[in-house]
Amino acid sequence: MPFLYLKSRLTRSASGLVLTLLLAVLAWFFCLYAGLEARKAEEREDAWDIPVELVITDLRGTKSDQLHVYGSALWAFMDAESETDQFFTVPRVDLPAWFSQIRVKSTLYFKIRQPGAPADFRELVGITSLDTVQDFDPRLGTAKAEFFDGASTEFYEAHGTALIIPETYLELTREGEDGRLYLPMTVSTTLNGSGTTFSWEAEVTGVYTGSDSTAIYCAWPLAAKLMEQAGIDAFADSISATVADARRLDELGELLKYYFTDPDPAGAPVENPHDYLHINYAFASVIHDETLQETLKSFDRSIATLKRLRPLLLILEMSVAASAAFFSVHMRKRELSVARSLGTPQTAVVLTLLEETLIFSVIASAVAVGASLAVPLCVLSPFYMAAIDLAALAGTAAGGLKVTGRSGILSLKEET
Amino acid sequence: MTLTLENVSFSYRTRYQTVNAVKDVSCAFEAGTFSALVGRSGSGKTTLLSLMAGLEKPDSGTITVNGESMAQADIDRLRREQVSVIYQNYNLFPLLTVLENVMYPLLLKKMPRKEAEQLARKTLARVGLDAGYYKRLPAMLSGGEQQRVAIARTLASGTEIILADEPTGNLDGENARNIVDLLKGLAHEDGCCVVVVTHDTGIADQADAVYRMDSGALTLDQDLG
Repeated sequence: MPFLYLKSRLTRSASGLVLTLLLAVLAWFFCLYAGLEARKAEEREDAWDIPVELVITDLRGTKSDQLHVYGSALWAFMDAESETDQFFTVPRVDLPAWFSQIRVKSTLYFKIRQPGAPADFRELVGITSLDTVQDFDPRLGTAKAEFFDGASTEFYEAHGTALIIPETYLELTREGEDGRLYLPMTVSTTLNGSGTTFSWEAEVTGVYTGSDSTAIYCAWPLAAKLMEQAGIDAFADSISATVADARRLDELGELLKYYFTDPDPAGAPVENPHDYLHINYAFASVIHDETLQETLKSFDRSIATLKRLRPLLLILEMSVAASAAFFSVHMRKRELSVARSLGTPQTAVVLTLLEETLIFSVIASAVAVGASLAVPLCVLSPFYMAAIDLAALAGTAAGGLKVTGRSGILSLKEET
Repeated sequence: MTLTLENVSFSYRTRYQTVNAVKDVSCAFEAGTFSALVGRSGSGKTTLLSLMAGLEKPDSGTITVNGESMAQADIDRLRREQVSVIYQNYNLFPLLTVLENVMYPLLLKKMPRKEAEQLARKTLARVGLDAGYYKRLPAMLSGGEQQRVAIARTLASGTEIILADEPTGNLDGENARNIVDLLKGLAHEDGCCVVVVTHDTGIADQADAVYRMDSGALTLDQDLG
């Protein structure tokens, strides 16, 4: 078939342009789909970065759905030597490097009572010190701490008793002779008030709003001072560690089992001959990573569904490409029959049609690659793009053979 | 160049019946003659033309082109070199320009492009289409102009047997006359064998021979040669 026919198709044909765009969209859509799959896999990997907190606390302490290690293990990990000490001495526990990011959170439960208020007027609040420990070195057993609000050490040295309180507690404060606000408190170290009780007050240096929380925040040195004043039996202390790599949760479980006690979801105490701390814990340590597991399962389900649908999508796209190519040829039944009636051999017509579709496919692939590169989500899928192009070629061949056969050429007779 | 039919019969099946469209037809169309094939609708004219053009194969009988049996010949070569058809609907390539449409059969015969272009220009000039038409697409032409391009394409292809099926069916009186003049010229000046299927008595009146089809049978109605 003379080249000018192919040239006219490439330069003047609207249907050729439509076919090219359609093939490009199909190829691009598959790249997008592949990208979606890849993104899901990436998100699944990212799910491991969900912070999983290790919380060591007693039964009444901070709730965590991630991991509980019961008992006063806090003291094994963290020994406040003075109220302004930024450095906690940690026992020489042979912790792996991934365990190096620890956030220390100490929650003390106190009861405060407004002076002069009726005896039954009591509110339960907590004093929390939330510090970030960096450069934790398990070999040296040291770590560097920063205060929860990012304030400088100097600030807390100057305001050693500084508190940040909810706005609703402002009415409980009194103004001191120095013009500063103070919060008087009756501190009890147990929830039921049976523990040590003493009166105490601290300067209020900040107020927060917009929260229903009744927690009173202070820096660790103050919390430590209070615990010291209340005696070592202050309850509900906790230490929380953000596990940097949640893939190591199993390893962490093993570690806890070694240093504390055997994990036992049923809560049955198990004697641990390796108990490094030699503390007879009454409770089991359990890793609760349901949230992480649920997240991972959700991603697994999505990824599996996408993988299952991929062949169906490919078949669908190949069918669309083949049908579009077939009808693109079929629409030209008359002119192709004319070509045949002028003596163009059937093979020449079909080969020209295939050549045409091949060129359209190459252009479509180039467009699809360009579009895929422009959209970060897309992942180039040469195999699937080629499969779509092959389907288009198959559709073209089928259409070409049909319209250039006997029935095709007879259409000229029917029309006259 | 002679187109000969000997005892040619052809039937086809419709949904309800078998139609004997051509019954034992024998005739010969000679070079340099302009023949008309007339008859009522459904009489088998177009079917006979299709058989002569090689679009259909006869059930029995033989059709020969200059002594070469169509059944045994390479039909594609025959269409390229010896037999061409002009249709009522012109059947030009919609995406090729006027010049390219005429060049098509020449390039198909492997004629060098430059030569083909020169010949196409010459042929178009002969059918009355000047350079202003060369780059137009068929859709930009009137029916008469399109039919002229179709005739130019046939003329350029150099085939000596030209079959035309109602070539003026879609044209007005003046355009139809021009087309008939062109076809007559092909027969009388170029020595082609021209067979025209028509309802138009005006065309039949100008033919050298008029054949009438009636229920598949062919009779020589008038021989003016």
